[in-house]
Amino acid sequence: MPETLPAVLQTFPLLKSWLRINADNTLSMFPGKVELGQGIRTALAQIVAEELELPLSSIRIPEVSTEHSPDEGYTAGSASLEQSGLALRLAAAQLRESLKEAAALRYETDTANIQLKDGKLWQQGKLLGSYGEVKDWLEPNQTITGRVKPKDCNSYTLIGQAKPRSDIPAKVKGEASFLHDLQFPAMVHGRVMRPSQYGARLKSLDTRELELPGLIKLERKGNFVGIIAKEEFQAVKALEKLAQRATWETNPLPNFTMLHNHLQTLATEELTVREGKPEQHFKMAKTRLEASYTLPYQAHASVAPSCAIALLDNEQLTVWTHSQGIYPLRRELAKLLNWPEEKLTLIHKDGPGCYGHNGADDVAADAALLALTLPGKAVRVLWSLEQELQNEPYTPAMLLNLKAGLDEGGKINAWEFTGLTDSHVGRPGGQGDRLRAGWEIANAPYKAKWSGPSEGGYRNAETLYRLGEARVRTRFYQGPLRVSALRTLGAFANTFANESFIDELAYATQTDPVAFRLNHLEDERAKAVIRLAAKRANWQTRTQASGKGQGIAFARYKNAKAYVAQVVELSLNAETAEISIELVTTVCDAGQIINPDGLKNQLEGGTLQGISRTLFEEIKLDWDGGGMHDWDSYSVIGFKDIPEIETFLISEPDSPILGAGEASTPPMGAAIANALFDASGIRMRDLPLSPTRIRQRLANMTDEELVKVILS
Amino acid sequence: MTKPLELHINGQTRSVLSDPETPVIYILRNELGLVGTKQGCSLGQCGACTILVEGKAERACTTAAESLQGKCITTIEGLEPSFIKDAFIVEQAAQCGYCIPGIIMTAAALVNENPVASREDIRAALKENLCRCGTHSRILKAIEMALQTKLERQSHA
Repeated sequence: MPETLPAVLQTFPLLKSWLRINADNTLSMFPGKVELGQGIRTALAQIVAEELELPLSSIRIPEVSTEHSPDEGYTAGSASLEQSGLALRLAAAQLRESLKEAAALRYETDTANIQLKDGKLWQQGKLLGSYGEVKDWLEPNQTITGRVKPKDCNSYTLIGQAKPRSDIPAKVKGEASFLHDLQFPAMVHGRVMRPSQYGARLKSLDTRELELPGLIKLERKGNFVGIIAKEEFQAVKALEKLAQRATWETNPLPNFTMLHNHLQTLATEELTVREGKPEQHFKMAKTRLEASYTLPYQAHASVAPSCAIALLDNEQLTVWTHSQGIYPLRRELAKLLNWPEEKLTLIHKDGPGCYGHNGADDVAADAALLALTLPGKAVRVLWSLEQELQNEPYTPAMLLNLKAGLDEGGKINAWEFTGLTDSHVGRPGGQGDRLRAGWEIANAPYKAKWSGPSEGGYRNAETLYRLGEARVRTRFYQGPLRVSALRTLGAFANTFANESFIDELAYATQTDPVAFRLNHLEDERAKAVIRLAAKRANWQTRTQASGKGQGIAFARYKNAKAYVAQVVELSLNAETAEISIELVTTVCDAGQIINPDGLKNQLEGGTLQGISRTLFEEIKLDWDGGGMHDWDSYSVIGFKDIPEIETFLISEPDSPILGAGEASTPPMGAAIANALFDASGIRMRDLPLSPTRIRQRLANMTDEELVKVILS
Repeated sequence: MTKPLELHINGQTRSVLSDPETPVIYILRNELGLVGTKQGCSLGQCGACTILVEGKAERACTTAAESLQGKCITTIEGLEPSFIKDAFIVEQAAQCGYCIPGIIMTAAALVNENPVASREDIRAALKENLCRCGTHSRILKAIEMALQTKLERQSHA
């Protein structure tokens, strides 16, 4: 039972805002969180069906829309089951008790004599009616008090069961599951012109005597240029022709081969996460170690470019979007378009996986701007892959400096973590300028600036380890590229640094990395995932480099959500310097598990994304913004790179739900780098771990380091 | 610019009026409502739009409609029997699911060409299909299950 009502229930206290019984005995539920491929619909349905003694098949979940869904902000941060799940659980518990009370009143008996089963009410074996038949007995405008106790976990029949996701069959069969697949009568096709060099601004556009077959509209507002054509391929061709008439002013960029040097020259604002004074302790330490780690800019790089459809009908503008947050997007759109919010409806439809703030919000603005020029027609806008890769906000490049002291017993006695990152939040929440079209109209590019401690750039900069006297700080620069939230925010790079450095300290003290971690932890659940991961992976204490190796890493996401330990087994090809990951063993404690198969699917996905970000992904731009065009410019993991994956869950049904949608990505970077060191004696501190970087590192190694290296 | 084209899709002859250069994906999705052929990179790199042409996996986004006249085209909607799709549902081999129809079509071509394909053969066949959610290992298992189903059905036939 929550001590206070969850914030979203304080804002949306009406029971009918969340749950409605239908006449056909089904139940409609209205979460404000959207399906992103994480299986949230099915997990939330399990929670509601469990409380209400309903079969899972009776649950209906209409699309999330500003017409009927509560404003739950963004679907992000591994928070959906914790927030929406809790709100719906409390709502469902109250609905269950209301049904009992209404029946007890009508049949003049005690609620204890009323039973619910399979969507029906019973009085000691006698059928009173189905939920659909009795729904009108309920107080229609009751509010959720949060005082009705949800079911005891020992009586669960649905929660904890691996239920197949309700949306998968249609997606597998190729039905119209996605926003991209929506079709409207007389739908027309829009495209927006954007530069093929990053950050370039439109200088001139000559549209004289330009013939574009099928063209319906050419809209220019400031530097925003869009077209509408009757058919989609006509729109594609028209945009190609139009682009030949444009000239651009390029925006000079820093030298990306020296990117982190450049970032260190920028002004910063500082956040102290932990205010210790380790200076004296460093002096007292027997051994001191320092190391720096880096992450490049990386992209969401969704499998398909972003899309939106907008329709102006009877002065009501409706936008279909795969945004992570329809309400924040509506507020931003209203400002951009100078359009009243109440005349703006946003409807979510599933999109290709976004993993954070990608182009989905921007393309919604593009579609809305074009639809306003053509009332009565649904205007569909799809970005090109090049537009997606260049215009989506990236996750910022980061630099992490670590320093530690070890005492005579090999324990850490002093610690200093200094992170450098740009903002991780450039989402809607501005004056229309957070949307790409907004910059173009105003001819003023928006760059996110660190907005304060609520941002996640320092996420997992702190760890659960006992570190003696510690200072943890993160400094925020404002860099040359557009940035925003990518799955895990700062946690991926911060954990790469922390967990690599812990491994370096273990090596310096000649302690086994598993034992070294356990020696510095007090949290029993943290120790349990590490011990189980070591056991399941058949952990071998380091001997000497042989070309094959194991590495471990651990993190509790946000230090408040799911616990994850991962062991990587890999080999290094001595000729090509290519890493081949053979096995990843993941152990997760996510508290109470709603759908174990859904959780495993998320953990597996996070693991493979972690591998992709560790081995392949890097935004590389030329000085003039060129270089990012397609899947040859931005390498990602492919089927040839997929290791065996074994995922184990520690079930804690009595515990609160711990968000786990991002939890398996942060440890992957260090688990791989640590395994590489074990395999080869090469300590890599700059991501991604490409063969080129590995060879560069070798070239810069000292003789002492090289003795331990197996690569020729 | 436009001319009449006759396409044989999923066992039916469909007549459309189109610019012959039009990549067939636009005709499938926008003229014929076959939206199972997903729109991805539009450059022939990601595999989301994979269809079968005479049983071979091809990219609908870079194949001109005119070049397909007289050839048998199969899209995910017309892929029969359904044992590959069934295997993906049993294995819950999808996260966002956007790449899945294209991967199933690539797998369908493989299953026909090499019914005893190994895991390495499957990886090789999928080398130009992208999945960004990290569903790869479930996808590999689903295709192995589909191959197994096919072998079992043949041995009972």
